[in-house]
Amino acid sequence: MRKMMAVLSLVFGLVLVAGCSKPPQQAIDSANASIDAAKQAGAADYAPDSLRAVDDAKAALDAELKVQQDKFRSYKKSDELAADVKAKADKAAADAKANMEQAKNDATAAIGNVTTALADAKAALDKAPKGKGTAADIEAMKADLAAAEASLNDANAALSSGNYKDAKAKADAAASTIQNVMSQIQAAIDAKAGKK
Amino acid sequence: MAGGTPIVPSAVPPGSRSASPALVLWIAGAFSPTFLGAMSRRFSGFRTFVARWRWRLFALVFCVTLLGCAAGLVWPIAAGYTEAPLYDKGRAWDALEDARRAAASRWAPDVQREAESAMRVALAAYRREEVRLLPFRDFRPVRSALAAAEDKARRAQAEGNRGRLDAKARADEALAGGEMEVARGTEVGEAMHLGPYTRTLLQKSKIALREAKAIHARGDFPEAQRRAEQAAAQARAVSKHAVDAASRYAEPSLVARWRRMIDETIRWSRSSGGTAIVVLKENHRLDVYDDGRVVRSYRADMGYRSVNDKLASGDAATPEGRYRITHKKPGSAYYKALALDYPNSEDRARFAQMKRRGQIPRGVGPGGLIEIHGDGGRGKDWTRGCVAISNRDIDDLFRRVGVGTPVTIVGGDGQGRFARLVREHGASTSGTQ
Repeated sequence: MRKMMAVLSLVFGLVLVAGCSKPPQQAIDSANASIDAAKQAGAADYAPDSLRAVDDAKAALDAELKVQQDKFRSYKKSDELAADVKAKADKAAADAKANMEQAKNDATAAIGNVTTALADAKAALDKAPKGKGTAADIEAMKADLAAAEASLNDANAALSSGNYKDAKAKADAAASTIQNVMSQIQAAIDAKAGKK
Repeated sequence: MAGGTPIVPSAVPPGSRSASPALVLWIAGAFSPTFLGAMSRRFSGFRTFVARWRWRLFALVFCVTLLGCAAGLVWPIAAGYTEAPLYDKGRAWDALEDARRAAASRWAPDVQREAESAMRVALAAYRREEVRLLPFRDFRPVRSALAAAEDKARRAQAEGNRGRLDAKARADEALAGGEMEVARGTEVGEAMHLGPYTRTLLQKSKIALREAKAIHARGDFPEAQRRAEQAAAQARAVSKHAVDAASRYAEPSLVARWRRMIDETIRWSRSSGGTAIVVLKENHRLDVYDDGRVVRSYRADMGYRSVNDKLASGDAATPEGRYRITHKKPGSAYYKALALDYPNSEDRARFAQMKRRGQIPRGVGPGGLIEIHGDGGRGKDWTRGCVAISNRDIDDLFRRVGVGTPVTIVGGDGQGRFARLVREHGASTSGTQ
């Protein structure tokens, strides 16, 4: 009888322990924090594939938690899944940061190049052969450079607001105009040199 | 049966409410020694039976229970209900991945959201069955859920593709429209020298179009469409500005006046037998009349803002009116030159009137030093108001004309490039902003 009581107590204790097992809240909170960090790092724009992997891992974790709540509450796998979500979210954040940094560097470089090219073009235009025959051309080229400068300003504004892809597109588009003006100036200089 | 004794305690039927004494007797009969004895005998018979067959009965009940349990547990396994639908899961995942690759979340967000949600539900159900003990698993609803998720994912992919293609088609159309408008703006820009504001606007439209193409290349079709439409609007504004500026070249009363001036010059040449020059600005032509007939026609360049009539100094427009050669300059900065008497009395009177109206700023004069000179024939308007022809042509013209030769400068004859520009682009730009 005493033995029987001991066995029953043990079984009851085990059931109680299993029933009171709690979800790995700390790991889940940590995973959620990592997801928020990834989203704030711009993963939706700069690392969409990594963020999708996070979503899938989170869905698997949610499913597991739901299953365990309804069952014997063994949260070992949930713990592993939460760790996986966190790892993937951290990776998404890192990818987003890296890609954003790359886009920022590209945009900054493009804007830098265009700024230099614009200054060069303005300087070249100031030195371009002037006279009655070139007044119209110079006026047109100045207008073209004004448009390029406006686009460059837009690119700088986009860069400041963190819209790096647009910033680069605007800078690249302006670069073509400046290049065109430079070619015209060079042609005028060459023509004048040829005339001499 | 014990000696045919009935086991019923009494013959009185139970339930007879009217015979309550009989009922009392009937109840009392149930405890009668006769009845109890009979029952006891029967029960001892049953006990004897059980005592004799108990192991056989136990074996029978055990076997039946065992068989029942076995059938209940094995049947789902044998029937395949417990088999995890791995293939179905893989197919549903593939479908979802296809939809994601097709960027369905962007082009068909609602359907994609449904597909993602359905997949999550299916996976949760899958996991729920997976953790059950084998005999208790039933993956049939999971299969249905996975099939539904796959179906939704396929639909999301299809709608995503459709949405993307629609957006691409709209962007392509906007790009084509932008290209057309920018080409038109460029064409009018080449036909006449645009002012700084309009020229900048034209260049902005070109930059916007290039940007739209770059955005289109990275697959952001709505933004590409927006930028292309912006480029088209800017280019349209340029065309409208240009057409508005050139509209006087298609104004019937002005064209009639110009034609009248040309005819009068020709008539004078015919009646006097003298030489006269007619310059048609929009035709970029300088015709020499002798005895009322065209004897020479030269390609001429004008002031770079010759779409306008000359009003004041520095406006780079070639004046329109009747002039005369005041003197010949064989050693001009532009090879050779024939000076004209601009501004004549008519020009001065008009200038004074405009100045009084405040249409001309203070400190600005009517200008002067308008000539027909060499170094021209460049195929574009570049002077500040003079008429430039090639050196070979000015040599020829120098021989043909003298001081006092009448020079009639008109906008055109209604058939030149500005009039054509208004005819071709006037309709398309009217009504635009």
